[in-house]
Amino acid sequence: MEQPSATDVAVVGVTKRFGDVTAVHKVSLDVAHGEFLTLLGPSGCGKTTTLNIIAGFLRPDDGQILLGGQRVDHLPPYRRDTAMVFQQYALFPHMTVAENIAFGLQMRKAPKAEIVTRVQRALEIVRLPGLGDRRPSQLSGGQQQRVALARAIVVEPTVLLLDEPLSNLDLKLRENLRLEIKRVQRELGITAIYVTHDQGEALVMSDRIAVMNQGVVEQLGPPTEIYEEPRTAFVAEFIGTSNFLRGRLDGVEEETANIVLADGVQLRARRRPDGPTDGEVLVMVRPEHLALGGGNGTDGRANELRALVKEVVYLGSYIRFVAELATGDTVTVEEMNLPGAVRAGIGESVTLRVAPEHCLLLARPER
Amino acid sequence: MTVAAEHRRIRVAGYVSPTRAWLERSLLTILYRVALGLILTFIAAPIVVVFIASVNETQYLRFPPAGFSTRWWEAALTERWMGPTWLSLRLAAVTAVMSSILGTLAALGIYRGSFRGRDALLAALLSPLILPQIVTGAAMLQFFALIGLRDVLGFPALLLGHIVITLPYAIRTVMVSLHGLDRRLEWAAQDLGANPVQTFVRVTLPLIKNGVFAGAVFAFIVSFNDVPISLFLGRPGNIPIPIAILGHVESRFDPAVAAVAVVTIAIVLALIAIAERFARVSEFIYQQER
Ligand SMILES: Nc1ncnc2c1ncn2[C@@H]1O[C@H](COP(=O)(O)OP(=O)(O)O)[C@@H](O)[C@H]1O
Ligand SMILES: [Mg+2]
Repeated sequence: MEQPSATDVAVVGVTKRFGDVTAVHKVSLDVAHGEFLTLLGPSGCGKTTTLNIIAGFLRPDDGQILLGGQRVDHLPPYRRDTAMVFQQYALFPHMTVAENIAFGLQMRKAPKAEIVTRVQRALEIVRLPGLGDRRPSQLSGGQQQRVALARAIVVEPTVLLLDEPLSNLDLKLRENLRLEIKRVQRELGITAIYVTHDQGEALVMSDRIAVMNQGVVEQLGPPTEIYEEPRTAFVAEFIGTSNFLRGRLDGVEEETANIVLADGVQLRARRRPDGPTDGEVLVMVRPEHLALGGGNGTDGRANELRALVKEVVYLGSYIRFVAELATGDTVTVEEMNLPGAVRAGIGESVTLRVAPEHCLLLARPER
Repeated sequence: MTVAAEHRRIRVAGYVSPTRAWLERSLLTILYRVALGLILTFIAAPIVVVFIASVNETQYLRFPPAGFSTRWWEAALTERWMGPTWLSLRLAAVTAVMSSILGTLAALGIYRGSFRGRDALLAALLSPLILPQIVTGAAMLQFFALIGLRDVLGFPALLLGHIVITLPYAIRTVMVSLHGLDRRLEWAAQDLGANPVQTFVRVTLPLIKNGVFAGAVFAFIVSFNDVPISLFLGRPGNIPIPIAILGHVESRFDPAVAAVAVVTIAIVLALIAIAERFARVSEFIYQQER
């Protein structure tokens, strides 16, 4: 991918309160031209509110919205060059599919002939040719979703806004459609802001992910960075599966730190320059980075933990062990199911190994 | 199974023979049908009687009817009766149009607005439903007299009065429609570039049109049937048909009036039949709120 140049959407320090609830707090985002940015977070974290502020349905209490470099805060939705795909599609029930798609073009006073060809093309892009004369009620959920997408992209907006567009569909359809949406977005080179609470969706589709929690963007970065370099315990927990070991800092260096767990075991972990410098901390380890069985560690650098196997779950391509450390923390270990892989049974005492670079030092969330 | 042994199962009832069960069931069914039949009879019988009276030969109705005659119908279809009928039709039609327009605007403003006194405004607009109409009528007459507008009595005053008493129906039916309207459809329209007027014309109105239409039909019927308001606000030469009938039967029963009554009933039934073809008005009668 070439380096994105122009910024299509800028959200600058936007805050929105509903009575006592701060739905969105000082959110700032830059979306480059052609970029696919996802707002990811649990229900109620302010994703929809952010999207509605960009579209102009809500006015922020503070902050600015820029579309294509122009301030649009004062503009009503119909003067903003955005197009939204709504959660429940919001197709006009009294119009046919073609009329739905033509609506935005009619409002833009496009010539009749052009409308016909562009509607036709939009239907082809979303792979629904020939369904233009149907009513939305005669379509399946997945088809309605495609019509909603066609209706939005046909006006070639500066930014396409999608609010959990797949959340009402079943799993199989969801997995198909997310690739479809991504394909359409890439083919048209359209800038998109996508809202979801589904981390799988976010990882697969996004160029960058903004992880939101309680109205705040906790981390903004590409999927690999979000998964591999979570900045907070919340991000680590929300994306993928994480193990957290509670401990206390015992000396930090530039990029590593020594941690003492509650039972006195020493651990070496990777530390980011802005990481914590002392006190109570968390060490985050992904299940796939924990290895079962101690002993012949290759370089002797690896951290070793004693644990008791509590549960073994056979998952075909890999096996999941749930084990309890002496500190009382429970960890999940995932081992590929390869020939010769170490096995352990419930109640067995095992050694877990993990390389220091896979132990990430995080601040303990105050609570 | 030790638990089951200690635990006696509680049964709904003892053994019931199939015959007895059948009897119980049919008795209920019969009772229900008899009650329904009686109610329908009380609704329909007067209409049938009026019709028979209108084609009966004699002045007074008796059973079995004696002879067939069209002379009452001939009397009914003269200017004397058709004049007021025509006035009522015009009045009801204009009332229906005005009431549904004003009612739609009022419902939109009240349903969507968040201004102070919103509930009070709604209560005031709906109050003609609760207030005794005879009082409303008398008050209106006094009001017109007081502000020196005796001259408007007749059609203009009748129209104003009928709009006031039919507005609640229009407001209610439109509000029911608005309640069922997904707000996001209007958002979607605006998002695609429709300004508020375009949004209303292209999306909101088509989606609430059943409510608007039902309101107009109700307004028509209420206006067409109205007695208490018309009683005060009409004036000679401008008398709606219900008042004309009332004035006539005060003194004696005239089978011509029966024929006139049949005409008015036919008008209302025809209107409902036509309306039902265009929009499911009956939904607003049988299931007001979902
Ligand atoms: N119109 C509203 N009135 C009051 N509170 C609202 C309104 N819309 C959203 N909220 C609150 O703001 C917070 C964020 O909501 P929302 O943006 O819908 O979250 P998300 O889309 O991430 O699930 C929630 O606590 C929600 O209850
Ligand atoms: Mg939401």
